[in-house]
Amino acid sequence: MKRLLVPLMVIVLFCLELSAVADPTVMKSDETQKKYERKAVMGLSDIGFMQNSISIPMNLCRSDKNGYRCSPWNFTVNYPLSYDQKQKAAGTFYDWTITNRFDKIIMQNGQAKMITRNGDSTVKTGEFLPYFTSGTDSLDGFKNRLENYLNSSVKESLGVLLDATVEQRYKELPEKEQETFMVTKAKELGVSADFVRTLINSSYVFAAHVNYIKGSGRVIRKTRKTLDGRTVHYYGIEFDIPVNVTFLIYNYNGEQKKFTLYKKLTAVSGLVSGLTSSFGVIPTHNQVMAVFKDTFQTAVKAAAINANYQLKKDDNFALFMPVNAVDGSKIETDFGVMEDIRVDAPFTIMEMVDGKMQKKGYVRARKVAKNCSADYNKPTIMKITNGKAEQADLLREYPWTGLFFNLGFGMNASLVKGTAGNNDIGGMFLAPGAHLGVSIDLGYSTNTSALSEFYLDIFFQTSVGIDNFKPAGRPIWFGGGLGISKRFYVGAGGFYIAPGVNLAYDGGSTFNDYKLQQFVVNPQLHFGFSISPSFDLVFKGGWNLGFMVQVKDDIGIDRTNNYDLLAMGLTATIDFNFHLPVVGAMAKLYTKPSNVCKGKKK
Amino acid sequence: MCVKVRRNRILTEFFGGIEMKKILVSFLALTFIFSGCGSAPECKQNQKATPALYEASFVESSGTAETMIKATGLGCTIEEASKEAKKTAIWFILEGGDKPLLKNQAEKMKAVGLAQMMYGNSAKYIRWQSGIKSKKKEGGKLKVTYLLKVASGLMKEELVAAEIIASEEAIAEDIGLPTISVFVDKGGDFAKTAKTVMQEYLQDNSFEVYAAAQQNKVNNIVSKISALEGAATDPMHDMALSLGSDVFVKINYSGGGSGMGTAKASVQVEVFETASGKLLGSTTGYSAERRVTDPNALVQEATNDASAKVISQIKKEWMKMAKKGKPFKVTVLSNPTDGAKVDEAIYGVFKSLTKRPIKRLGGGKSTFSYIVYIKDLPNAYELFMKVKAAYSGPGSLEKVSDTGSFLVFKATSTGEIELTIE
Repeated sequence: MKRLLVPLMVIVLFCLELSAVADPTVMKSDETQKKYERKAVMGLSDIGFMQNSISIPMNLCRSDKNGYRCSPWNFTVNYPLSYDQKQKAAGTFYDWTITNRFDKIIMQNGQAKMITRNGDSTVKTGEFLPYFTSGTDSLDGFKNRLENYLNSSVKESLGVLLDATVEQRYKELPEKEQETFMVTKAKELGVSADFVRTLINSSYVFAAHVNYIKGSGRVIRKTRKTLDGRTVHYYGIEFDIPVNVTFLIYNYNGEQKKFTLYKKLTAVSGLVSGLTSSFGVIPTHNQVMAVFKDTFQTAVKAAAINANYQLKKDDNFALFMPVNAVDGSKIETDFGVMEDIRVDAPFTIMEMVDGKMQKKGYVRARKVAKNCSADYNKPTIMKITNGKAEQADLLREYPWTGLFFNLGFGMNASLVKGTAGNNDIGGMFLAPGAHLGVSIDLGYSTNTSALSEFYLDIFFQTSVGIDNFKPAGRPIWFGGGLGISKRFYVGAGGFYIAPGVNLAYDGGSTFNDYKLQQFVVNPQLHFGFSISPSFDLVFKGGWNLGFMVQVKDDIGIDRTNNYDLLAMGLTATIDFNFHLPVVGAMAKLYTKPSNVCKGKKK
Repeated sequence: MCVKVRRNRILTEFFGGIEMKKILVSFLALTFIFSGCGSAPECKQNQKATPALYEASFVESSGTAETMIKATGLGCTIEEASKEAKKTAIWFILEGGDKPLLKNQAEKMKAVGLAQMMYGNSAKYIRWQSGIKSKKKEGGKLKVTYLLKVASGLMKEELVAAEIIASEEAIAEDIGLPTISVFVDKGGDFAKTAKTVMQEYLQDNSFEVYAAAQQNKVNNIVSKISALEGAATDPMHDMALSLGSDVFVKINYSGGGSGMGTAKASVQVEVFETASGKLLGSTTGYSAERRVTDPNALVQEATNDASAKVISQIKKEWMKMAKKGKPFKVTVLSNPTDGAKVDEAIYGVFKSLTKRPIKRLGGGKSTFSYIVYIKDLPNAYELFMKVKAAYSGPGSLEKVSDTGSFLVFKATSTGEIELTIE
């Protein structure tokens, strides 16, 4: 018996290091495999303004043959910035800044609530916290009041909430080991201080204060002729309302139990012009106010989109994630809608080479995982557009709005056929020209997979003919229109092919004072090179289908019937797309970050 | 139309002016240059059975025979680096860290074949692999790090079966396990928790633990003998002698709270060999700084940490004893008449039983204490039997007490002893 027992005891003796305690930080990945860890954010219920109301004296403008003239109109837009209006603005702003990638903190009625990825936690803070009313104040005044508020009773309540939710948030950390070994460890022994520190110190307050808003507005009377030759007036309403928001980000310091200013950003809307041209008679004041409200909301949204863009420039708020798998030009990654990944969102591929992080290329999100709960295990699929990727490369979110400023130069050819008596008055018009405008990725802006890599172009164009044909002479064209194209990336060199079509309306006059108008349909094929998500170089080739709407000679006689309806020819341009971080009026085309998980939460 | 014709003519003239041959040569030259520029230096795979890199660290033992290692592999591809990381983890268990299975050069030489087999069959020994924890490119090769759970118990079994490392059972049979007493030195209630945890820890692992109950008092004989020896008495040592434990453990606790509602604990443990009072090992266990509802959890964590460390020291020292002999404290009670002859005879017996020096402790003319190291004797009673059989001094020997490694007996021709024992 002894012979059996002694060896058994000794084996046990030699295996006594069973309960050796792990240093949990050893199990974490290093910076080459960095993963975004959720931050907790408290937003305020309203936004601060510097004014009690927005006041915009309106002008009445006339646009006719004699030019464009304005004079004061008998109406001033007076938009009171009541608490409700401020709340509404806050709703728009925070929709775009406190996105799904953040756990949300709400404090009210003596309770503090944390909404995390997998559920809510409510704790009694034991103190009734008054709402912070942003009010009407200068930025300094707003900031001082806010800091006093945060560092009075809020910090205690937040501390209580953070204390109570540490374990829940700990379990939602992204490392896979958290869900197995380390969580078990935490259950047995309590969450280690390193993680507590990480979780508590990753709590923020977002606050916004709008700079003084000075806008301009006008009602414009325009003139046009009806088909039966009558001259009619119609009215449009136009506003320019730029909104600049000072975006204050406070970080909660768990050790000092204090809020400190982490970052101050200025989010700009750009020039947001709202206009409508549908009034047959001079618009009523209510109609003007409706257009104003719509434009103002768009401006706030544009500023919010810019704030969202700027947040992504900060490593603390940007997504980082390793590549899980690579299959040809497709890669799989974690994260998804709960981290606010939008369709077509670009990411930089990075790799540590000889001690330095280097860029390897870019990918764009295609199928975004609906990772509403922790048990969802389908990956987000991304497409390599530039460079190459391999498993365990690091992806860094590329700050992007999906909007580009587009500038192009090219040549339009148009074969016009026409006869006057026995004379051939047609010819080939060769017109070098330029165009500029904006191009927006509809997949990204609407966050819709079906529209992935569909680009909508809005452009103005001009060209000057270089061929002198009699009797019309060299034409000079001005016009504008819309275009749509769909990109297909070829390989991983940033090259893409995009079939598309432009629709434009051009008006022109010739050196011999002929007046021309044409509606142009221009099917195109683009050969593009996306050097980075911020810059594209595109060669566009197209076939101009110009429908001649009007040709008038130098003495005003309509010669349209002398020409064939269709004027056709090749077009070729070289275009440059420059990324725009400020979206302006294009904000209307952006849908809010996905809320697909709202109904799916447990 | 005229413009088109003019342009075509210009193009024709331009290309017509250049010899076709020159174009071809230039094209071929450019192709050659670019193909040379584009080729990356060849990445050579590790052809050896041993790992290409020896970067690994111990993380923790997560099971009875499994060890978590953080290991890095070097390779041309992720697949190769992953395979190499597994080899590195196996190497760490075999030869790396503080407690390698192969402890000396002779064992390493004997294990070459088996180790290569293990490297080549890593799937058998790697029980779990984490996701990639680090990926770096250095000198054109990938360095990839994983957490790996290695079946260290299985590896040990195979090494023992192959007679590469000594069977621990064989060593242990010579000596058995020590009996242990645990005492609180400083640290209040948390130290008492630590003591309980330590006792449970030892008991769970089949040690025989002699617990001192609150009402236990130091044995009268031990008190008197300690007083006679004249040295500063250590009540814990005396209690351990009274209880008859081979080894006793002193525990000190310290710890406290820190920021953000977290706290940490440290438990200092000192282990003494009872008979000689020799310090066998000393270590401090720490808990991580954690947020807990009950600080005793931290005490438990720190004690476990200390226990894990100190057991290794006990093991090492105890194994040395297996080779050199187990220590016994022997006290002989006599009287002034027989004292000198008894001392001489007993000393002679001990000299015949061990080659190691016999340590004489302070006593008097009639009471003598010795520390002796005797091989192949499990307890004090068997020592008494040996001494009794070999004794040739005055009178006969009568055992007074034998507790663990502490033996007290009378040696007198008259039956009288000087020391009064109640």
